[in-house]
Amino acid sequence: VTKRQWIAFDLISVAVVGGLVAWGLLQAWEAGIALGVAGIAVSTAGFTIAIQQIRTTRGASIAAAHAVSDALRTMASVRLSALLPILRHEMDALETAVRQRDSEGARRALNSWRGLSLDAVNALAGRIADGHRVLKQVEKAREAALDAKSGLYDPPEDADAFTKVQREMEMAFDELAIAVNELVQREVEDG
Amino acid sequence: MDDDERTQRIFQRVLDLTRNGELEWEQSGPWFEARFDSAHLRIASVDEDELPPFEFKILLPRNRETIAELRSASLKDAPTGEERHRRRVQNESLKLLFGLARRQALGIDSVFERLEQELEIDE
Repeated sequence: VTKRQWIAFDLISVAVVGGLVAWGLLQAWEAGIALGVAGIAVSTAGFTIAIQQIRTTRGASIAAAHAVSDALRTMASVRLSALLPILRHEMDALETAVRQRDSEGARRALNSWRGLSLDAVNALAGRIADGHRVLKQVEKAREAALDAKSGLYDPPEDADAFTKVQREMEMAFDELAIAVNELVQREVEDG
Repeated sequence: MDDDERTQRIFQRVLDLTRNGELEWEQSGPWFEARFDSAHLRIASVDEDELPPFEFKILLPRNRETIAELRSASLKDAPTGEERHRRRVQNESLKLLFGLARRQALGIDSVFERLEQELEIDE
């Protein structure tokens, strides 16, 4: 028996039952009740059709969910690929600010790098293991960025804070680049 | 007396009042405010991370326009020893005010006291 036949059968059943009930009630000439019963019959028919439509579209929904999941995965790697040059730009900006003794520029670059690296970590979430070395290294660099920023205003000043943060950022950047590369390769292999 | 000196004097007075628990601070978004009829005072972490730089502002109550401010200054590009010392003192005061205002606005002391009572921790 096909789905269409089931639908036709459902509709006919509902119509026949509804008709019989309505006829019986109409004999008693209770127009209000008859209309109510007719309404129930129509609602039941509508519900049957809706259920059938849900069954029909379930397959399409699963396919759409898979497509969305694939798109999100691709978007994550695209986003990560786009973040890398911006992270590099902020690292260059920090280097320039340090060389020119521009504290405000250094603070801005450190803040931007912290925000962007958090974006990168979020994009990686669920795609790499929780304790992956890239996450540890990014966290280390983010902490070093906070220390360097605080050191601009707070004694005791750490003379090596900027050397340290720049080194940690370089290492984090390298780890991120490797992780993104692996992610893209995996996507290519998965088709 | 110019505006900078007056702002400094106001800031010092606000710090003393706060230290003595005589000024009421309220949390307002990411910063803390004390309200007077003539002006509102605000202490905030500029990057909203509770770390320096901090800024103290005097705002007009009617339109929240800033009429004066003090901000943590970098020690890295301080030109002289004297200027460096001045910045250092100011930065420490701003940091202290932020910490005290936050503590007061969030009621941190009373939370600790209540929690210790609930946990039946002896003094």
